[in-house]
This record gives sequence, structure tokens and C-alpha cells, in this order.
Amino acid sequence: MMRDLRLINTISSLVIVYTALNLPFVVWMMRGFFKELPRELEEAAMVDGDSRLGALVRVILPLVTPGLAATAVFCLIVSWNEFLLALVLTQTDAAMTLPVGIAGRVTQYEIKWGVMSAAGVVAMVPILVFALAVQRYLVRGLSLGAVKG
Amino acid sequence: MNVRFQNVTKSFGESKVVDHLDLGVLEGEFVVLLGPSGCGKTTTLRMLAGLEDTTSGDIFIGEERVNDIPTRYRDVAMVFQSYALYPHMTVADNIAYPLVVRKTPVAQIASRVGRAAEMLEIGELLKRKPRELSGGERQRVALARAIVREPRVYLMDEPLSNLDAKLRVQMRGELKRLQHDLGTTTIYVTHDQAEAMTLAHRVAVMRAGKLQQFDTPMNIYNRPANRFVAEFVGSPSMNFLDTTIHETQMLLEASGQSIVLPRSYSAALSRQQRVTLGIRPEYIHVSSETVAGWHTAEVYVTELMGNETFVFLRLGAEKIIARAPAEFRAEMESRVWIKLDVEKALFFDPITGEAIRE
Repeated sequence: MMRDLRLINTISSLVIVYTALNLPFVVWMMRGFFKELPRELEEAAMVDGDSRLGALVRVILPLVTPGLAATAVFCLIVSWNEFLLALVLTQTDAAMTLPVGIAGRVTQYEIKWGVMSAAGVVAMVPILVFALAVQRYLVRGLSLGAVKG
Repeated sequence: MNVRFQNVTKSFGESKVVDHLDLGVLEGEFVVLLGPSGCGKTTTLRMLAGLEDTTSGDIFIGEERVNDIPTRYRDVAMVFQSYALYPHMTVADNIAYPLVVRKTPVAQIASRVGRAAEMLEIGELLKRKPRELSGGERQRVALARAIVREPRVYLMDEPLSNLDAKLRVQMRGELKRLQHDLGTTTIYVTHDQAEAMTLAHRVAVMRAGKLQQFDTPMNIYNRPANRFVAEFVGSPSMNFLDTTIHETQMLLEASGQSIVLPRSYSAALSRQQRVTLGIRPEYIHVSSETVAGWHTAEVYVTELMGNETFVFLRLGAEKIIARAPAEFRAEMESRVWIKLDVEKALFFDPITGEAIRE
């Protein structure tokens, strides 16, 4: 199918596949975060004169940022580490993901341990940076004080 | 603005939560919907706010039928039981929210938020977040958010029930004053009869989705429409005694003692065979010494309240409550003499529970 769409060896193909892969889990995870918020918050926003969408954007979304951040980290890790689909869908250096690239260092004649180890460490860095960046959104208890108790 | 419920019914599946409700609230009136949990009072309020659809019937705000108007265009303000403050916003932003979503000019917002905060004496809290506030302060912020604009109706869903007893009494007084000063129609839901009696111009007592009585607090207390209203309003609760009528006498079935019928009721009651006598605790007089012509009863327990004493008595098979002065002392199981002030008593049909009028 990706060949029919001329998406082989493109990053877009992976974007599509990983979105499909992560979506069910994201929905399930975010649903939990949304459900934790009291319904009155949305109702209060609508009584105060906001539309349903406005209430979502101005009141609900800011309150689920910890959930959004956690889910984003999770998806990033899954996509970053994914190997099988990346191996099938990408062959050229232009689109190849790191796990595939690193595995490519296992050649017919030698296993380049040094290069692979170095690449493995470097591969860790972006995730680490991202996780640290969103850490402040991950704090629990942001919704404390909305309702009594 | 006046508000009118016309034959409004709300069903959740099979069960009717609100059953053919007709209720008219006048402009500027403070109406309290009173009833036990599950009587449909909150659902009634939510239907008016547009948070709940009606199953049938019409709701009017002013002359406008609002059934199909979305919540945001109904121009009502609501105070939730849980306050529902926006936790990620400061107090000032919380209060300003209704103005911001209405695209009020920024200069106006600041001054109106300031004025609302001043009215509720929370001026110094404006920069804080809701989680840094006490329960009473959150309550005030929720009220400020409601009064910051001038809605057609205020809706309040048990706003005081999360406060401690002392604060509740204080806020109750302030709410009454606030409503008086603003003069805006207010509909207030509570299960606390003391709040209903003190706040309301008129009280609507509900039970199982049906309106029982809609009247002034005075009439609700003194002339309840039926046994349910009589029992629900007043603390401690009214006493009920089953009696059999014999011409001008009524025989208390619990103890076999007889009492002369009050004159004003004699005509109405002589047509009945059995009636339920309802008498409030303050109209039962208790004496620890023999009084000629009074009935005897045994003390079950006494509760000293400080300014008065509640005396729980056994009158034959029935338990009744009387209010006595604080000095009243009696041992458990001791015999006392009581007098029922039947001129102040009310009478109910023992089967339907409807009040029998003189």
C-alpha cells in the first residue's frame, strides 16, 4: 500500500503508521485524564457563557496538560524505538530511523560494536531532553482546588 | 426576570425525576427549592440552566421560552455545590471569565472584577489560585463569578453545604443581604430547612419529583399542605399521633388518653373517624410535677441544647419530642406530665396525609 502511495522510504509513511499505532492507546490514556476532571467545570464554563469548544480549550485542556505530557512522552518513546515497521518501510539513509540504522551496523563481515554503542547513547539524548522539558507539566495536583475535597 | 415552569417533566428512563412541575417565580424573588435528596430539586435547577433537557413541558425566562436555547445564551449565572472554580486560573481570572468569554472590553473587566471582589470582601485574594483558598473563600469567589455580570437569574445549588456550621450561618446572612441589594431573581436549591426558612421569599417543597407546596416560609411552617411538608420543615420535627374521633373528643390511640377537640376544627374533624394529630415540640408542655388534667408520659432521654432542652418522651407506644426550658431536668424513665396545646395542633388525613383545614 505504501508503495502504491509512493511513500516507501519517506518519513511520512512512518508518521502515518505510528499515528495509527499509538492512537488507540492515546485515546484510552487521555480518556482517563479527562474523566478525572469534575463535570461541573465544563458546565460552569458553559453557564458562564462559553461554548462547548471554548470550555474545552480554555478550561479543560489546560487542566489535562499533565496527561498530555505523559502521553506525549509515551508516544515518543514508542515511535523512537520502533524497529519492525521502520525496517520494512525505509531502506535509504534519508528516511531510516535510528534503530534500523544502528542494526545496519551489523554487517556481513563484522559487527561494529563501537559505532553501535555510541549511536545507542546518542539516540537516548533527544528523549531525555524532551522528557525533561515536559517534566514541569507532569506535576500532579494541578487540578487541586477546583472543587471541595 | 420572572421564571416559569409549565407542566415540566423530566424522566431518566422509567423514573420520573420531575413530575409535571408548575412553578412561577416572580421578578426579584428569592425562591428556595426544598426537599430531601433525590426529590428532583437539583434537576429542576439544571433544566433551567440548560444543563439538562426537559422530557416535556416548557420553561420560560421572562416571556422567552428557553427549552431549545443553549446554556450559554440563557444568560443565567450558577453557583455549584462544589464551587467549580477553574483551578489553573487566579481568583481574578476566575471572576473575569464570564466577561472574557463575552468579549467585554478589557478596561471594563478590571473595574467590574474589582467591584465584585469588593462586594464579597475578597479584594486581597485576587492574585491567588483556588487551591490556596479556604472553603469559605472559594465560596465567595464562586459567588463573585456569578455576580460579576448582570444575569437574568441566579441559580444556586446547595452553595453552603460544604461550609462548616458557623460559616454557613454567616454566609447565609450575607447571601440574603446580597440578593436584596442586587434585586435579581434567585432560585436556590437546598435540603436544609433552616436555609429555606431564612432565605426565601417563598419556599417550594418537593418530594419525589412532585411539588408539595409553594408558599411563604411562614405558611409552610404554620399551615403545611400535608404531613410530608409538616414533618420536613421544623427542627426538631413535628410529632404525629394517630387519634380516633368520638364526637367532641379525640382518643390518642398510642396511650388511650382523650383530648377535647379544638373548637375551630370541631366541625371539620367530626366528619372524620380517624385523624393524625400533628403537634410541634414547642406546643407540648412538660412538667416534672403532677398537674391535674395533664397526661402522663415517661422520659426516654433529654438533650440539653444550652438555651433549651429537648425531651424525648414515650407516650404509650409512641415516641414524641417536646421542647422544654433549659432548666428542665428529668431522669430517664421517670414519669412526667405533659399537655398538648391542641389549639396549635394541625390535623392530617391518616391515609392521604393531606392537611385538614378548619
